[in-house]
Amino acid sequence: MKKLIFLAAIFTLVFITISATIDKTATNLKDNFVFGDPEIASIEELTFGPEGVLFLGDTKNAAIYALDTRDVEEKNSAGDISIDGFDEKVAAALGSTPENIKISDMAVNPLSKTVYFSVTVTDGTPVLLKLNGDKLENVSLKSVSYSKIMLQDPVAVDAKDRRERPLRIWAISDLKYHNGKVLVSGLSNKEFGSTFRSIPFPFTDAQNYASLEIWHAAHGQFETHSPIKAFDVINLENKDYLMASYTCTPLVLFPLDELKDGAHSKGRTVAELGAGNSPLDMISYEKEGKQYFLMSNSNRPVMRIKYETIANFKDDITESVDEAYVAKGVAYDNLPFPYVLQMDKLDEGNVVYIQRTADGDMVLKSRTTKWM
Amino acid sequence: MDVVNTVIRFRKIRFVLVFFCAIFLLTNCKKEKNLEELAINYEAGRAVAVSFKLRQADADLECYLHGQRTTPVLGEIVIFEDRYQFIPVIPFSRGQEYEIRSNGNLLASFKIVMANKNDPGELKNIYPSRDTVPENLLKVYLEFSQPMQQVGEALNFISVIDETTAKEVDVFLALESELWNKNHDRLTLWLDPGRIKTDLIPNKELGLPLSEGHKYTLLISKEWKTADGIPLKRDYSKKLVVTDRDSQMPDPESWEIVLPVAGQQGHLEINFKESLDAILCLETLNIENNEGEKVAGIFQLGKEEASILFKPVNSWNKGEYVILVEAKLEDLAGNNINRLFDTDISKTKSGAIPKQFYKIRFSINE
Repeated sequence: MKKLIFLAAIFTLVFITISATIDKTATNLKDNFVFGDPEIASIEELTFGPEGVLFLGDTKNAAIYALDTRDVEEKNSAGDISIDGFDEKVAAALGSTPENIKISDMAVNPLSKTVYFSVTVTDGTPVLLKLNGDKLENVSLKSVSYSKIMLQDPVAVDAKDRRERPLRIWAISDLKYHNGKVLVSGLSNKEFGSTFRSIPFPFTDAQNYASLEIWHAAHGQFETHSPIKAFDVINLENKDYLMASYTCTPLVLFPLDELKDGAHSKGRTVAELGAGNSPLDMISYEKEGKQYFLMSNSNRPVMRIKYETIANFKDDITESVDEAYVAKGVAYDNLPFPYVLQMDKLDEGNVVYIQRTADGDMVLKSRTTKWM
Repeated sequence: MDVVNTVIRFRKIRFVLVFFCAIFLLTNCKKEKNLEELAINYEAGRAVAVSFKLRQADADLECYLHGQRTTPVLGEIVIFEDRYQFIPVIPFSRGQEYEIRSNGNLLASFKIVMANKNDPGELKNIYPSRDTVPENLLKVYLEFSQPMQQVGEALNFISVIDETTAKEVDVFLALESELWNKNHDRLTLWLDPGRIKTDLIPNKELGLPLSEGHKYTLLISKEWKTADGIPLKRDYSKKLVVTDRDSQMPDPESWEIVLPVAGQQGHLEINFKESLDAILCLETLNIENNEGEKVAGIFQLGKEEASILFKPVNSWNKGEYVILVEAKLEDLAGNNINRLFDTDISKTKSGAIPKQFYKIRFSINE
């Protein structure tokens, strides 16, 4: 009898424990999520998917993590954001000073309009923070509901199995969620090459994601193998295109349906945005029924490109630009925002950005798209 | 009269002084009494928490960086009986002072003392190790003795002087995601590929990063810190003399193999007859016996990465062997075994499927 009571008690305890850890908000998307410590080693890129799922690009583990933030309460608009000395604030929240931290990315949850930041400290420990009013809060990376996929190169996987060598490391340069897929651009640390992956989400064990090496043949037919730095998706005549901006600053379109496993896709160069520059972030927004793209840059102000301009540009730039620092192809406007380090769409009418001002201060601000 | 007045005045002053001293002591005692036995908790040399006792429970405790008024340090407070522990999200920083406050009132302050300084980091290797490089040099590797700081930009600690023009020049590609290995002790720097490839816009506008006939000095500042926040042991420098373009692909057919003797653990030497990419060399070569089994051993770079030595774990047996060379092995200019880095694809023959591996066979007879 005592044994029976003991067993019943154990069973009840196990049942309570399991029910407590089951994700109550679980939907199909989160069915394969597990609860625990995902052992994230670094966060280079952040992007939100649906239902409060935050994707994190971890270059050190060569993996993409999907985290359930449970931040799903829908809000139509975010309040104004204006914080001076933002790097000092983040550093103070981590008990440190600005030279010992790095804000690696920023993403806005499209449901709650909450802004999330990934931060790295000197020894490489990654931290995830979110903004609540003007206060920062820590988002646990140790006890979370998550799923992950390793970004293994098929060749390298074989090579490791047979030769026990370390895998190639991919630096993840941009990450976006689009239409049931996580899109990842990256570059190799040893061979100069660019990869682009389209990974179905929810992640599957099979890892049967598309992988390809991108090249384009602009400029007198020379291949470039240049790494994609930032990208977005653009729909032209009912077809989705990857719009990729490169370190060597061409803007190139690739039909998304052509990005198949192992295939090479030849892109169409629609703009040359000038040398000596590297794109940082690319976002899009709508204003008065028209779509615009914004691109922040390392050495140029934020550029605004109208959707129509891209849609109406039918050429492929294959001629070299002869004059120094001249841009070519689709027209763009320079907005008066230099040194924008991070940028994302905040809500329907606003963007949020981190900017280094002329006096060296780092500010976090929101701004209406009316004036952009 | 005067004497009496003076005594009264003195008593008044004394009374006022004693009163203020008593108030001061009371307030001080109150502060010290409520928080006591403060201790820093260390784990693997890192200050992971601060613990203390409180006489009266306090729900408004916060930890701040010294001097900071608005943003508290993020972390959690764990309470066990009368003992409190504050665990910051990130361990406390060495040399930094912190304060514990309740409703804005200072309860205690503490400083994380510098532990015994670890060994300063050193720059172990700069690859290519040779001084003479082609004008289309593609990569430079920096190898450190320990993991380096993971904040800031590496290029802020690296400068390149063109000694021929006596000017500082930008040759390396600035990347938002720097190319470190997982241990963060090896950095890959690319000389801007857009400037190396003929006719690309950066090439037309800025020319090659390195100019033939010029001498350069690569300087690495000791201000660069390790992950522990300790500066490098010293400044480092490397001279580069730039020669003409390397437009030849590495050719395994032309390599010389110096054979070991059967029954011994002698080295197998592969002489490339040119310097190759140091890191790819170590990762793209393997030796198999005629059963297709990998021969256990380690590879060690030879002088100026123009050769490599293979040291087997066991003695060599008589028989046939094969050196497997992955086609992605590159020379200093990024030319691999299948293609030149700067390729005019309109002139590339189509149809031929490039090989993934090249094989060099050798046999050990005696």
